[in-house]
Amino acid sequence: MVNALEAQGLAFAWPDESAPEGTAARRAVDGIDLSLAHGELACVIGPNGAGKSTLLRLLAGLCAPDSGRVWIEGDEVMRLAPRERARRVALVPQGLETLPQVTVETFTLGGRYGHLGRFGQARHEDHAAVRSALAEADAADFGKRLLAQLSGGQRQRVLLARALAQEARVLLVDEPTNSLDPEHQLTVFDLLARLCRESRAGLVVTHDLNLAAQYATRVLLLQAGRVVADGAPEVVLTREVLAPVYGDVLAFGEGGLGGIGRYVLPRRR
Amino acid sequence: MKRRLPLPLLAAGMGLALVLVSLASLRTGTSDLDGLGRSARGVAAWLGLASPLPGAEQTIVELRLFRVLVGLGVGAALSLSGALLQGVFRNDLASPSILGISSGAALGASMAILVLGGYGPRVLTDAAAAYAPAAVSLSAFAGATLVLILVTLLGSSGGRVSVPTLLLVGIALNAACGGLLTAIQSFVLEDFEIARAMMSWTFGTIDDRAAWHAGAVWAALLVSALVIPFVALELDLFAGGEEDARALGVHTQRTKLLALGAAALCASVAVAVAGQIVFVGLLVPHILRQISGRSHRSLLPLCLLGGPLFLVGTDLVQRLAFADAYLQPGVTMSLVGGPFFLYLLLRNRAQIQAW
Repeated sequence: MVNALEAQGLAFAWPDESAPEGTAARRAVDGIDLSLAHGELACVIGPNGAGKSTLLRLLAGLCAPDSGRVWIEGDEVMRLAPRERARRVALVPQGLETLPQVTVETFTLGGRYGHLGRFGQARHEDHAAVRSALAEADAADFGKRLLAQLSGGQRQRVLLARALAQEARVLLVDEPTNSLDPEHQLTVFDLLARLCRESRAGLVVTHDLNLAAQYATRVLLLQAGRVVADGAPEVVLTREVLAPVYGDVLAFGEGGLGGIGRYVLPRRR
Repeated sequence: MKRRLPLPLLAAGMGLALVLVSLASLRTGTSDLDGLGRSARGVAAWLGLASPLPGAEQTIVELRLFRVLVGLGVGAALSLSGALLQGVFRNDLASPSILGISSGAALGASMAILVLGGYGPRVLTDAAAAYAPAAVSLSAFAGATLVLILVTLLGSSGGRVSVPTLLLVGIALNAACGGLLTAIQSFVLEDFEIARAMMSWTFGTIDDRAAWHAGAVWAALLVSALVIPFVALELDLFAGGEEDARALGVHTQRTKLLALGAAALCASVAVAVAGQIVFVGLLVPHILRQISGRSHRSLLPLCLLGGPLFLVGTDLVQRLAFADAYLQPGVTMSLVGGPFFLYLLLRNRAQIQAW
């Protein structure tokens, strides 16, 4: 069985005009190897600037790495035709550069682009996929509204719905719960966990260690463009592993989720 | 959501209006040749299907025919170009004139007029004289293309086009071209004929056009319109940003290349053929978006109907209303377009500040 997602020796540096002549800009991603099987829900954690979002862009084939390669279900991602790539891997971005002035349904239909024929009119199955995606992301209620009329959390669910409509078996998700209320944070992770159990592969960037502890089958800790820990939540989400990366800001509660601690931010003294 | 007219009905209505406006325009003019029948016979004669009308009448009918044909082609080309540019730049305020296409063309045309008027090296004036009727248009086309390339190069970095930079670069280059243009004009101010020719070119005209004018603009339009099926859906997906479109499976590089190429081709040919007719590319897509929505799959084809309707229609209304004070369509457009542009800016103030 071929892996859902495979990366070898990934490195990428943003062009940095402020870097002195002759010195290489610091790499956002600096030599990452990774393989992810269908059925896994991996959470990627790490401090700001650790390279999490850049890693997602590279894995999604949106930019070419400086070195290294990415395979999606056995084929190199940069060599896939764009539509084929979109049928295999879906990216849920944190937000959009500009807000399209369209309804939620029209926007979600954009996720079907990879499935449409060359001059494709949306067919019955496309509309069906949109409907079920909106329902799964709990966004069906505002399908007729304009994106601009939604709250930040509603928009985030619509972005997720559009990715679901892509029906890709690899899901790359960038901080999906940032502006969600507690209930929808659970809804979204319940959904992601279920989709992954049903044979998809998910890689989710998050800062919420509690959600990662609760839902992830695997946790990757990134620091300065490298994976410094990779394993089961109960192995990675421990004081010994986290403290060197995050510093001493985390407080670890006891009890909690199946033996794994709860993570809270203490008041600064 | 606003209720919208069904697309086929809208297209049919606009098509019908377009036919009526064209026919009316064909029988309206300064000379007292009236009657659709005679005009029709003149057109048939031009096509070789009937014997020519007596005397000057045949010439008059043909001039009116080319006038209408050029008007239709130019209107469609400018609107399509505007809509494509607005799609690529994700900004409703982009237009061929803002990107410097018109001022580049004006500069090119003025240089050609200058050379034709006997200024410049002998080799050049001889060469220009040999291709006299086409020289101005060709030079205008070259000027438009050069400025567009310059704006695109300066307005993007690392292959990514930045909208605010691009617009600012466009404004700067417009100003630079305007400066050169004024310099050339003041240089030949004493030479009445040449100064007049330059000035009237900048008005934008569809008078006294020949068959090849119409042929050029329709050919460019046809080629440009062929890209519509390959970019319409894709430009819709550009709305969330280029990278977002790429993530959805859009071949963004190809889409940009096709759309920008088509926009540049039809706008520069239109300007080369008819001079500066500003605001059509800004106004028509904007009005059509209000009527039929933002999807490029309806917007782009409708531009092919709405553009000609707007240009030939306004021209017709202007000529019927003020028969004695005829204004060139370029002037009419500026008069209508300036205030409308202001209205657009004020309406989108929030969006502009968000840049």
